[in-house]
Amino acid sequence: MAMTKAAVPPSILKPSAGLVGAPKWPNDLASIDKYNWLLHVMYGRGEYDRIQQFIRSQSQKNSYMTYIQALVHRQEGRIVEALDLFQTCVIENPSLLNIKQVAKSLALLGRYRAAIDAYKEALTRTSTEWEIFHNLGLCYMQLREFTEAKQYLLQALQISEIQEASYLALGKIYMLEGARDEAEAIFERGARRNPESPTIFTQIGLLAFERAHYTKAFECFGTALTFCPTHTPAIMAACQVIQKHGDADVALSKYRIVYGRKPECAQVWNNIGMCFFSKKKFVAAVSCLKRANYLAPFELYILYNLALVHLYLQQNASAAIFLQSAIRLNRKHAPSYALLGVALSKLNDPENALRAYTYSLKLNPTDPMTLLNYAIFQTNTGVSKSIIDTTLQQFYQSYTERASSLNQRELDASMLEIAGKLVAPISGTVSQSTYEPLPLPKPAVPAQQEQADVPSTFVFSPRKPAEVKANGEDVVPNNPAPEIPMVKTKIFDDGRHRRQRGKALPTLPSHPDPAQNDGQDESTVF
Amino acid sequence: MRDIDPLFQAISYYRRRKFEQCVEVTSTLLEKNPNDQVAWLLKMRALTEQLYVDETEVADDGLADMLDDNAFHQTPMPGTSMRQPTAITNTGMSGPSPAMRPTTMTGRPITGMLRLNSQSTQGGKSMENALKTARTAATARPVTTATGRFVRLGTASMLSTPDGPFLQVGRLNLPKYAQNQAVSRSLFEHLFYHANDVRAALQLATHANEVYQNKDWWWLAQLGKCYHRLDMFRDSEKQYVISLEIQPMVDTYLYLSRIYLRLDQPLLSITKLQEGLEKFPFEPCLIQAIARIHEGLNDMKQSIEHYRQVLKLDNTNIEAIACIAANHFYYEQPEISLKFYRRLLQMGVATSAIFTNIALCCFHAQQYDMIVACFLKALGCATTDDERAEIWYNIGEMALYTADIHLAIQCFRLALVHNNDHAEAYNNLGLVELQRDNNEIGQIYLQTAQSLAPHMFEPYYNYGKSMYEQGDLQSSFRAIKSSLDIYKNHADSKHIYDELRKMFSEL
Repeated sequence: MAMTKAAVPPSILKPSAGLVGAPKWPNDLASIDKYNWLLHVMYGRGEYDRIQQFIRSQSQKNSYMTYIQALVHRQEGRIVEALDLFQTCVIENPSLLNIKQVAKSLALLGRYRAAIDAYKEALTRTSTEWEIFHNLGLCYMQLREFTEAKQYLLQALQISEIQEASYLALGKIYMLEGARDEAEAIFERGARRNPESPTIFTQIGLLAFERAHYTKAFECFGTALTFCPTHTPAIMAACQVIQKHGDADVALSKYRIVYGRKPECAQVWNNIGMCFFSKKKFVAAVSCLKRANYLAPFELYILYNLALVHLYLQQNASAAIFLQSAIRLNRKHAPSYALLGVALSKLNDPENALRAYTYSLKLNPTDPMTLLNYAIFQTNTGVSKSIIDTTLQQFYQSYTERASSLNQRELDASMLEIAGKLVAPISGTVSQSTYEPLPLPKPAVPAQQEQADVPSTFVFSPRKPAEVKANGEDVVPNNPAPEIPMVKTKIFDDGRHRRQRGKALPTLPSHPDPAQNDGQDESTVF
Repeated sequence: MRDIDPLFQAISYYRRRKFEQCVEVTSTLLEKNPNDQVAWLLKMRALTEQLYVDETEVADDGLADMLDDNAFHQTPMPGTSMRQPTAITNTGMSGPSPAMRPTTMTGRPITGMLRLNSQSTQGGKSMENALKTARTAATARPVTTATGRFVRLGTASMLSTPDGPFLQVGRLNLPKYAQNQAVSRSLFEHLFYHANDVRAALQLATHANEVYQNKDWWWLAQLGKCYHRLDMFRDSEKQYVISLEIQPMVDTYLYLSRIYLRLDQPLLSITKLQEGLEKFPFEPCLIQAIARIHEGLNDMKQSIEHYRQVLKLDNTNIEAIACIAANHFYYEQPEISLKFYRRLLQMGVATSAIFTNIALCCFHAQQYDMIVACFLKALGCATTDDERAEIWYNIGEMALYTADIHLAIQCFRLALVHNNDHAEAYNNLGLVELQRDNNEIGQIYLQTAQSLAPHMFEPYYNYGKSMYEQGDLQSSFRAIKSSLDIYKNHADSKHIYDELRKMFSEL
């Protein structure tokens, strides 16, 4: 500040210090616009208070002052005031710039229809500015009218091909529409024009990752990271790839960087937890996942992973409860039902386990993992051989389908082995062969996570209990008041849950339960 | 049967701490013979004992203390002052982050035990801030000054003797009493605690010190206490130091540490306490005081270390157990925390808070069978509406973590029935409503939470985020800014803030 004070002599800031000299022609253009340079400089330096002070001290306002004042208001987050001032600007001088600013203010206030009208007004004055088209596209995107949005964004790209933002917005629309090929094409185009944009490269990488093109994905993340070594989404995504390769230590060291920047990011904790899990450090894994769950109680994948870890630790009841929560969040999540089937069969509840399996298969009839577990379950409950065989056939079928469509690494080859064991012993001694070591869950299918610019998408969960109040001195004489707390355990209200938890059948298999083959677990990227 | 000698009876009552009966008996004795010095002394002491408070625990900072300029530095280095609690919290490394551990109204991580000053530790951030902080049922800071409490004690003493005060303080010949060794100390305590006439007590102490030529540690310490009560901290400090030179005493060390805390020099305070520890190495009170100061400085590691030492010396110290338990809970070790709380329960501290905590620990340690029983018990033990509100809030929180949204809503509503100022419950209700896509209701809840608890960043962040998603960037910007004011390293808030700034500055 000291420097700026030296740069701008204080006399200028005094009321009409300079204007006193020119009282004759108060509307003289020269005297009114005399200090526009100063306003410009001050705005550039971000000295908003001084601008306000200066403008207040002037006897009359010119349009540039109004304009600058509006900009200052917008910078300080008072958009309604800014809009008012910009509108007065437009009334004084309906130039393109002013109209654009009005439109932009409207868009910032969330009044997209009005903003679109304003931008269209601006379009009547010029049609060679990509910004207008781009912003129109964004407004339509907010209104979920994707065809118009795409059209305008493409027009923006026709006028100028450089801007990164248009490519990103267009790609995002394609992603929202589920057109991944177009999205990828757009991103590739963007990357050609912007070879140093970490965001675009991260997007391309994520798309490649989804299709299991891991080397390409990794290259893209690498490019992104060379240009911006602290680009958090890229680090996260790169870690996913590393984790996928089973290199948990490297991934952990990378997560440390992310942790330093975002200590309260549930996704990071989730992924760290899964790293520990693949290193077989279960206590650490559980506590990391717990923390993730605390930070984001409504994240499905965290609950799913927690259940997985607990299942692995033979804490089947806990696993079942976590799965219930997961199912409550998304009633159509087939893997959760499959896992619940495993948990319930371990809890000696074959009836409900069967229901869980069938429901899961109804939701997703081609998941090899579910089919295999179902087959194991059938073997253990002594279902007739032919039915098991059909299940196994389905399994082989879907397995080969997967194997042909996906990268080999995506599927766990040990599944085949287990299936082979199931098929082989036609005579007796079936169940002995079924407990195989759990294949380590390979971390991280990033599962169509939106990589939007919305910050990590969980609404922050509230604080932990403000519970800790041990009132040392005045110990309450505990009078056993006959209270009637109505603890409604709504858990059982819902039909499906009752079905699953049902009464535990006391009968049945004394032989060791099947292990299951849940080779996947998702950890979410952003 | 002959009656017992009334004087003997009075002494016996006094010994058995039946002070009211003692006062009655001595009053009749004094009616018979107004010059009975023994009865007079006994009555005086009985009256004093009724209102005796442990001076080492008392510290009500009033709002008026915000105005005092006793603090040594106006802009202290981080970590050397109670006034900058946020300095360490926000680095996120040594102190717990506000996202993981809730803070009190003055921005400090919540402690394991509710005690004087744990709600409103010395010197909030600024006068403005203190005035802004909402004064809800559990107020951030008493509005009256430090003397407020003592004025109340003074009027209480009037009540206990309906026919006027026992002593006409103004008519006492203080120099004469100061000479009298047998009476003077009791008289001083009476003046200080019962009559609450600090000025007279100070005069008496000065006279006594003249008599003893400043050689008696007790009188010096009392002089210090008087100055302390009169907010003359430097004088008080001097007296305490001299007193300690003559005779080191635990109490005096504690008084001295309090003085330094009021002067906002926690580190010096700790040093003095450690000096005291060299003389009295097995004194839990001193260690406990150190632990509390570390806690105030957000240095949880040190604090817990000292609480552990306290436990080694005195393994039934409630405060130490509770603080350690709370710390383990917030560091994701509910199983260990559970052990400590169980220990408290075994010691007979059966409050609703303990049961709630046990239930929570059980939940986070996945011992699902105990939870409902514990919460039932807690609700049974709860005596005030505030407690019930906390319990229902926690039940709701638990429902939230099992994703049972309807149960959660019911619980939070119940919490609000019991305590309409429960900001956390409003915040969670708002979140749940947002989750169900009832945006407007959710935002209203969040706004209520904001107005009730300006010390929490969560409602601001949540509100800002939901507004951001809706496209109302102006409201979002304001909310996010407030969120960052409260917790300046919150990564997600910063992210949104940066995005918004970028949008605003684009032409």
